[in-house]
Amino acid sequence: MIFKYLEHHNKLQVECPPKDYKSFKIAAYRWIFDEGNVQNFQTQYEKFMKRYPNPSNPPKRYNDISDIEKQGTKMCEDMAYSMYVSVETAENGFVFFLERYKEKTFEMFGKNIASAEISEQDGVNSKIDNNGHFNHHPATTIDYEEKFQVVACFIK
Amino acid sequence: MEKFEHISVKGLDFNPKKMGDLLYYDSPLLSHFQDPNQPKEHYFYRWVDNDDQVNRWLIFKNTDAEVLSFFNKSCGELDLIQKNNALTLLDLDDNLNKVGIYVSSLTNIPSAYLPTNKAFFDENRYESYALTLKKKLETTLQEENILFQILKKVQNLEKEQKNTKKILSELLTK
Repeated sequence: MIFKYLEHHNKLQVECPPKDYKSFKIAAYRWIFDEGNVQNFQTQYEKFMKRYPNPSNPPKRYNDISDIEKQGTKMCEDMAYSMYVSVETAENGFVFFLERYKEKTFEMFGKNIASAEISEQDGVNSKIDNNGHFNHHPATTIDYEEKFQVVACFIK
Repeated sequence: MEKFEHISVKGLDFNPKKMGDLLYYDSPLLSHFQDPNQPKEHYFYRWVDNDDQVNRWLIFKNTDAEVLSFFNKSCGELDLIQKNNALTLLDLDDNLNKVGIYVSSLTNIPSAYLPTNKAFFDENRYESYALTLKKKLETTLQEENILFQILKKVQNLEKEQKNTKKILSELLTK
């Protein structure tokens, strides 16, 4: 499998994607902005890479030199898509941030939940955590914007 | 960016050393800092805003006991912030240059910068560093409690010793 960020994975000090990430078929749910928004399937890593030469993107949300210099697990996670296993778990995750960041949550993460079935060929996934969340390292071949359809909308 | 009444200052009144992130989603949202010279004080950087040039961080300060009460869910993040009458806001650019440092009273902080009163600790959603800090604080407070009990016992022993001396000297004078 050729990963979308393979070239960047190789620059990290850790194995990326991690060894325990597996390919499996699963219905995946992800927060997105409006359909067609370029941010929908941009990983955090890609967003920051694209800040230059386009400084209109927001600056890196860092508060310490250790954030800039990170070359380990967190940077690897930045190259993955955040996914949930159901509408409910995606909604609960969003509400968690809504309780902390109010309207800013919509600016950060969008206002919709989109869903698609991810196949074994689409990439590798982390274990599903207690919140029904997992990370998905994408392969090169998938058009996620095409694949994912909006199934729910958060009302401001 | 939200507008608010503030005083601009030239520097922070502490020497920040990042200890870890409590909330992280794509990058830090709530981070813990300490000043090596003031180990009993905890500083939290809460991301609150950004424009094309900077991210804005709301800095609030708490004691060991206050932080522990947050971890034990006796109070929420809003309560921790409200323990501070004055708050610092720090604008950092891509290269961590301090573009602006502002001091404002709690009452002037925009509501959008504050969490709701439902923002309690949740061990499943906070970073593993939060549990490390919780354990560390529990140990510190337990040790302080033991030390306090020992001191109390020593004080009682001293009192008893004084009383015994008094009784002895009274007996001897008779």
